[in-house]
Amino acid sequence: MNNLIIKKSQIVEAQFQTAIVLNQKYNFTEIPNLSANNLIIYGIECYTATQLAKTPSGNTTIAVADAVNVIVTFRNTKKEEFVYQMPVYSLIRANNGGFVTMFKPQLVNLTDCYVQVVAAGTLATNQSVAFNLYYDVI
Amino acid sequence: MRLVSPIIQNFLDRGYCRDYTDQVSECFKVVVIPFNANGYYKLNTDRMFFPSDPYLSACWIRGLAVLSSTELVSVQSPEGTQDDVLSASSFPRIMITICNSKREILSQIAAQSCYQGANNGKICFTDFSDMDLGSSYITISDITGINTTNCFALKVYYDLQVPTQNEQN
Repeated sequence: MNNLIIKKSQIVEAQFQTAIVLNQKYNFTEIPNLSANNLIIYGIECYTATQLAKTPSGNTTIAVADAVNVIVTFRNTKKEEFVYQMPVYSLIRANNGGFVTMFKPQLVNLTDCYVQVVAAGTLATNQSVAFNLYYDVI
Repeated sequence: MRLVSPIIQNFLDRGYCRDYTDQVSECFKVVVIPFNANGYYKLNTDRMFFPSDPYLSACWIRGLAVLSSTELVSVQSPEGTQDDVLSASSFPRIMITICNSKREILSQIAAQSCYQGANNGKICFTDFSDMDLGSSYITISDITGINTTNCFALKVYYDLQVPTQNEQN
């Protein structure tokens, strides 16, 4: 079994900037480091509060129990949803025996990507869903 | 005979993945950030830099793993004191940032994601040929329960030779 090698990585987040509304799209925050058009994403990992209590920008991450209430969609620069409504629970490394989820390398437009809530749970306004994006420069 | 899917073969060729049972590296070292009340290593919620290590910075970093007190109770800090290794309960509050000598960020990793105890024994494989330890740092979002007798210890797996571009590809 193969596991991901980190070449470069960046923690990104999608914040619930308004009250929790089921199925509403909450977009990712733009990260200047990832805005170059020569970066391909080949691995994604989700962080809940069990992995990282606060994001780099200081926002509280969602509780691990709420991972089952959130799905994520990643779109590439061709606007194709190469990851569509994936449970964030499935992207937590600890839930996969320590393996990081890998995808066919993609050019991603981060602000086009979003999370959605399928059940409110204990999710609250201003909490964030954090992800570590593993990428390479082409 | 070993069958490998085309996408995995592509990942292997590009150096995006490797077998987790492979030998991690040629060499190993533990690096330590001591926590002091004052000075360069003052315990706070701002950036806390690793001690500079020109030898390690010239090597190829193949893997990282955070050391917890369940593996080793204490380590010698760069200042010569014997400090208590943090328990794993602190790791969700710690983020590791790996930089090069220009202080450009190569990688951000949650300490918990880099902790073997939480990931079925698997370390974080890395491919850092230009990591500069003295420019890399941790940030602790909340220092409650962490004190100046503690330290942050990171296991570094490395090769002596940095690969050429052709070898990497």
